[in-house]
Amino acid sequence: MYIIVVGGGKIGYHLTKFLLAEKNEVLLIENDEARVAELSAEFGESVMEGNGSRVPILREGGANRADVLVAVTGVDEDNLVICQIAKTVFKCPRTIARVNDPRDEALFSAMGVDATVSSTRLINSLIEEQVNANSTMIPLLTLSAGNVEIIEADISSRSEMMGKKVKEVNLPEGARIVAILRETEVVIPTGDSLFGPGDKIMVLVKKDVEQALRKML
Amino acid sequence: MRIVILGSGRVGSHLANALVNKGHTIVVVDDKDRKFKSLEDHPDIHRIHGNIFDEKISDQACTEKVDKFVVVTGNDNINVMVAQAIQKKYQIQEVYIRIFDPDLADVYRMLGFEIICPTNYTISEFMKLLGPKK
Repeated sequence: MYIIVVGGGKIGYHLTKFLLAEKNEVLLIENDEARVAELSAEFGESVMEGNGSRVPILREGGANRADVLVAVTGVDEDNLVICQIAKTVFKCPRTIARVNDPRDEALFSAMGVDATVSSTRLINSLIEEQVNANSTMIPLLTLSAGNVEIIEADISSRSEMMGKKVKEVNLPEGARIVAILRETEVVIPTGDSLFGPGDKIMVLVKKDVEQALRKML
Repeated sequence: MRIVILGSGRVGSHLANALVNKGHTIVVVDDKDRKFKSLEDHPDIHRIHGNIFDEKISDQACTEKVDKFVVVTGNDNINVMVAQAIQKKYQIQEVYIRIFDPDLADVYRMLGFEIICPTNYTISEFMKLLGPKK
């Protein structure tokens, strides 16, 4: 494939490196002379100096035969213009833009950019996933002025409780398992009940040992 | 008519002054308030100081129905992006964009926008003056 990358910052650099390693024909267009010198030292002929949001520069770069054009400068309006020129003038079949401000994403899609990548949004969703992954404990009921609660929690596959019997698990003082939820079944546990994959537990727990319990899940 | 002008440089300011004297209501938006100095003090020229990409500012500029939106900041790429964003968001029928780069002007004409390209005007004016003599 012939791929044009516009913008030789960190993203453009690593993208070009990756695409070249994957045996694509790549042209990296960068505006800053000093940066071009650095990039050329590594990528040689695959680097071109110029303002990628100018029609003649894209023409010189062979935009008319590019399979994909990727605009990854740090400036959203430049990325939009680059993709729109590629689409309108050079009929580029696929344009991808980096979106620095997530609010611009919808506009880019509406304006004919085929795909957008927003690092801000990616980072946000990664953080969100992490936050959710750590809050596997759902409070069901708070008792006694907030000191004791009943929570529902998943037992993760990495949990020290997995595969053990209730009596083998050293729960912190102030935590008592009141039920094991297994698919549609509710098990009132005895000392011999086993914790298996996919099990959830309902635990009566004092607030001050909640953190210790969380570590065991 | 209510006309919003983005960019209060030489063109934006003097265009606002000329339009208000034709009886229009003008809203001028610029993120540098020193740029407003060439604007006339006229009750029908409203100044909004701020970045149009900020929703509060664009909402403020487009609270009432906008008949025409004129984009004349000094940056071509900003002009085309703002024009498309504002047109889409506020459903403005008539949008006019200044683009200095003649090639870029052609691209956005192809996309159906009303483009004013000062470079082309300047060249054709020069050609009129220089043209006849061989």
